[in-house]
Formats: sequence, C-alpha cells, structure tokens
Amino acid sequence: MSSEVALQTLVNGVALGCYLGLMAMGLSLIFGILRVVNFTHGVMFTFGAYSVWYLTSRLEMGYALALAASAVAIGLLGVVLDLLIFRRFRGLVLEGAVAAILLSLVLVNVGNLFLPLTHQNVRSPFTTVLHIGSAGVSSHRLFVVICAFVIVAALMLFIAKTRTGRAIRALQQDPYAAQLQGIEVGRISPLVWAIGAGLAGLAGGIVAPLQQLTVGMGDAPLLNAFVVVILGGMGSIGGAFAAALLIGVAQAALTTLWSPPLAVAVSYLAAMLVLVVRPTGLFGHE
Amino acid sequence: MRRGLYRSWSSGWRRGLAAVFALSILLAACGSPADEPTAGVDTPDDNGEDTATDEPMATETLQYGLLAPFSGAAASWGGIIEASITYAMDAINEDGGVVVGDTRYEFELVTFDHGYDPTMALSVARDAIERQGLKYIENGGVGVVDAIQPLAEQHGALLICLCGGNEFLGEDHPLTFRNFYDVPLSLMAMLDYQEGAAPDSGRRVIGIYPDDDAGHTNSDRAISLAEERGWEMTIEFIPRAETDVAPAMTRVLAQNPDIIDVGPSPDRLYTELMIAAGEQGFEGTWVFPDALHFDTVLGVVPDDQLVGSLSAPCPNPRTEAAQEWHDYMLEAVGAVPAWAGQSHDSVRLLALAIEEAQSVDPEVVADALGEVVYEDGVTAGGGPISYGHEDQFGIPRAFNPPYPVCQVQEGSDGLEMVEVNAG
Repeated sequence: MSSEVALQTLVNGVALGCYLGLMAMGLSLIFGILRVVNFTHGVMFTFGAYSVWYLTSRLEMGYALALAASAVAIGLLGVVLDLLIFRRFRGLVLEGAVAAILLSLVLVNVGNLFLPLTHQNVRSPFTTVLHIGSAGVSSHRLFVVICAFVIVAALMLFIAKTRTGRAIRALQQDPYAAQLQGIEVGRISPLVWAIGAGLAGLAGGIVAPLQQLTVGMGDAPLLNAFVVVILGGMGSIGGAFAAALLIGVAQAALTTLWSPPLAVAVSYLAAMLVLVVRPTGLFGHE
Repeated sequence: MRRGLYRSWSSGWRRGLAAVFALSILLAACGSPADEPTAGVDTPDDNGEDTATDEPMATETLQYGLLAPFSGAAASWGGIIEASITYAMDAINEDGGVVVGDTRYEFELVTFDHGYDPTMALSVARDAIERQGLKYIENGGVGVVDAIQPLAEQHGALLICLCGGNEFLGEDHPLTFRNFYDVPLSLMAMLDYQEGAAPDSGRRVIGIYPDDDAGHTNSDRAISLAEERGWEMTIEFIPRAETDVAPAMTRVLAQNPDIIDVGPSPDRLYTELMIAAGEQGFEGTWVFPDALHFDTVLGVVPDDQLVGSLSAPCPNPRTEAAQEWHDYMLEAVGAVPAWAGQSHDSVRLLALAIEEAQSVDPEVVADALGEVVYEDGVTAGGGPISYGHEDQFGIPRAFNPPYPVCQVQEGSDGLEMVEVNAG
C-alpha cells in the first residue's frame, strides 16, 4: 500500500468511524440504561434523514436549523414510543427486543406509505473538497467527523457533570439502588429515549447529504452500530465511540486491502469473539 | 347473548347461501349450452363462409400477477412497475383486449407484495399460483427468483422476471422469460462508442458490481466480452447496502482506472460511489450499463464526475409511444427509471403472443412469446422489442433491445443527457 493510499484509508476510516459512532451512541445509551435492544434505531435514523430532506427541500429551511428540528422531532417520537410501548417491557430484555423488531417493521411500512417512492437527496451546505496531504475528503465528511466528536464530548459531559446525568448513570449501575435514592425511572426513561432517538435522528440528518435517501437506508448502519455497541460495551458512550473509530479504521483498511464483503464479515466475527471472550465489551464494566 | 347472535347470524348466512346456490342453478339452466356458437364471433354458415354477427363476444378476464416489493427497502420498485403495467393493460383493454377464438380477454392486474424477501416471496407465490391459480406471473426483484420459479414451473405458470442468474433461463426453463436488458451488451455498446470517440484514451476498466446474483452473473461475461475487444477489465464486488463506499473507492482508484463501470448497481449505490470518487479525485469516465438515472444524481454528484459519463440503454424517449409512456409515468409515480419500461413491454408482448398462439395455455403462449415483436416498445427509449438470446440460452427467452448510448454533457440550461449513438 502506497503512502497516499494509506493516508486516504486512514481518513476514510476515521470518517466511517465517526459515522458509526454517531449511529451507535443513541443505541448504546438506550440499551445500557434501559436494557432495550432498540431495533427501531435504524428507522429513526431514516426518519431523521427524511425530516431534514423535507424541511430543507419542501419548507426551504436552513440545513443547521433542519438538523436541530429533526433531532427534536425524532427525540419526541422516541418519548412517545417509550410511553406507549417500551415502558411495558421495562426489565424484559427479550420481550422488549421482540417488540422493537415488530415496531420497526411497522414504522418501515408507515414510511413506505408516506415517504416518496423515488430516492431523495439532501443538499449539503459544505460542497468543497479538502486535501489532507494527498488524501481527499469532502468538507461535509469533515463536518460529520466534527459533529461526532462534539456530540460525544457533550454527551459525556452531560452524563458526568449534570444532576440528571448522574441520575442516569446511577440507574445504569444499579436501578434498584437508584430508585431507593429517589431516582424515578418513569422520569428518566423518557429522557433517555428522547436523547437516544434524537441522536439517531441527528445522525440520519448529518450523513444524509452523503447518501441517497431510501426507506431502508438505516438497515446497514444499524447492524454496524450493533457491532460497535457490542465491542465498545453496552452503555459506555466513550467506549462506543472508541469502538466505532476502531471498526471504522479496520473496515476501511480491510476494504482497501482485500474486499468490502470481507471487511463486514471480519467486523461481525470480531463482535462474536468479544461476546464470547469479554461479554462486557472492550471498554465496558461488569 | 353472544351465542344467540352467532346462531342468528349463522342461520341467516346459511339461508343466504342457499338462495345464492338456487339462483346460480336457475341461471345455469337458462344459459346457452356450451356447444352452441358464441354470440359475436365469426362463425361459418352452411356454405362454409364466415358470417359475422353484431352481437358482443364473450368476455373473460385474464389475471396477471405482479409479485414485487411494495414494502421494505425496495418498496419504491413495486409502485413503479405497477404503474408501467397498468398503462399497458389499460391501453390493451381499451383497444378491445386480446381476442382468442370467440373470446375476448381483458387483462386484470393482481399485485402481491414480496417485500424483496425470499420467505415472503414464497408465501405470496403460493397465494398467487397455488391458491388463486394465476398462470401469468411477473416478478420484480432479482434476489427472490429462487423462491418463485420452482413453484411457477410446478404449476405450469409462465414467469416473466428480473432473473439475473443465467441458470434461471434456457431449455430446462421454457416458461421463464427475462424482461431485462443485457448488462454486458449494454457495457460493450458504451466501450465501442468510447473507442470511436476517444481512441487515444486509456483502456483500463474497473467494474464495481453489487455482491449478489445480479453482479456475479454479469461479471464474467462482461470481462470476457471486454477483453475480446482489447480492454483490460477487472471487477470489484461491493455489498448493495454498504454503509460507506469511500474505502471501496480508494481500492478502485488505487488500480488507476480510465473507466469505472458500475454494472447492475442501484442508483443509491452509484450515487454514493460518484460522491466518494469526487472527493478522491477520479478524472476518468463513468459508464452505466444499467442506465444512469439522471434525475437522481443531478445536483447531488459533483458535476465534474457527471460530465462525460456514458449511459446505455439511453433512456431518453425516442418515439411517440415512449414519450407518452414517459409522461404518464412522471405523472403517476414521479419517476421514470430506465428499467420501468420493460414491464410495459412484457405485457404488450404477452398480449401479442396470446393472439398469435390463439390460446391462453402458458405452454403454447411461451412458444409464441419467443417469436413475436412489439413495434411500439418503450424500453431503451422506444422501438421494436422482442425476446432473443437464442445463442446464449438455446431458446429466445431474454429481452434483446437496442443499446443507444447517452452522454452527460453541459447544455445551455445545465447538464443534460444527450444521445450520442443510436445503438
């Protein structure tokens, strides 16, 4: 591999890692704290992308404002789903997962009914191509990287430093003890859903300009996000992001050196190995 | 109370059913015997000469089952195929349907959603073929043919499909027809054009094909045909639903291609490939042997990647019939992917074949379907269309349209697709 290709591979890997990290953080948060394997996360990613498309192309809203509005809307959708459905499955991991699978099928078909038949695109405000040495990267891909780092930092600060964040952490570590301390699961749960779903919507909106929008656009990143969450450790925001970067660089290198299908297969194999050897993930705790 | 209600409803239902039976027996008794000449059909008189009557012909319905994704990731395809078929059927029915002997058949479309999922496909194929007894089936979606074809063959149904794999066609499968153009031949049309238009340009072609049946089926033949013409060609495979294609593009560009061929890739995939190629500085030519869906890439893919790109078959309407179909599709579903015309032409060819065979028996119709030509086809911009490829499959079972070539050029109002070769 020449140095130019190696540098491009590294740039690709970091960009892919940040994309996966954006996708995985909400998933990790919802599972780590509420023990819900959220299969609707991919649909929320899709709805986030379509919301940004609708707001920017139909209502001619600015991209940044559309991103924020979309994240809020999808966050609210998460709250509604929690209040209507997932609160009934609190503590029931398997039943919750089955409910999430069924709900994602319903939401996909709702999407099929109401979303446009033809593929849509979101125009990015960042259109130039930047060069890092010999490696080329679009300014929008750089925007994805910056967003990922900013969101991870903000989320980690929120969890570590705020009163609500500490309550969330307490709930994650020991729900029973947390409730004895007066932390209400019924109050924290919608908040976690709002943040988790909002992050999925935000991720969809952020990567939308790099893709064509389809109802199934969330499927492939969702599988990769599960790999990231398993590797990083359920509920660990920093761990999920570190694992995402690791997976991103590994997939980019394997794709460039061998083939894309091999890269995906190796990622799944790594996740299986981690589940067998260290079920808490590389960065997770007992 | 509930039991009482049920009993009341049940006895009423039984009385209704008995009345329907009695009525149907009465109607059957009053009807004309089967061996009497049917009204409205040319019948020989005592002198052996035809005497046409003015009475209407017997009309029957010929059901055509469309098994396509109306849900799931490929849900958009179903509506597009349905609209194209509906356009053809409405025109056939308005023109008097298909006349076989003394019966006039009107087409009726029956749709089934297989969600591009083999399990669902098998389930809806059972419904369509076993339970409803449909004899004419069209399948939209390469990945589910395996689930449908055996059932269709077992029940003697004629299957028109996007069957990418060559193993689906041939003398062992006489009732299966492929209504899809030939991707390697389409590629050759563009390479031939490029050779004439830019004889001094490089001859290294890298294909990026989807890592599935459609991609693998076409790859060997594409390489073989390209190498016969003196091109150096290799193909990389990529999952259709790749999360990020930038690393795959780095791999391709490291091989210094002069031409990138996206094979039978969906527009979502090649859009992302072109965006990634723009970032990484590709300066060669893109070729689209499954036709470029221009509207979906315009304004999304960098202009410098689009300009000079070649697409075959060129989807620009070239005939009045193709233009009318194009306008209808735009109004009905807001999109006209190049492949959508094939379903329209499949139905038109089937109608011709049934009239030619003077039978609705799929086995008899299949022989005629391999022979008929529909002059007002809309596939590939319009023109005569038929099933061919006897040299490949032993019997004519795959669409054989012309391959006109389009090029993306800068026009006065921005980028446009211009036909540069009639194919």
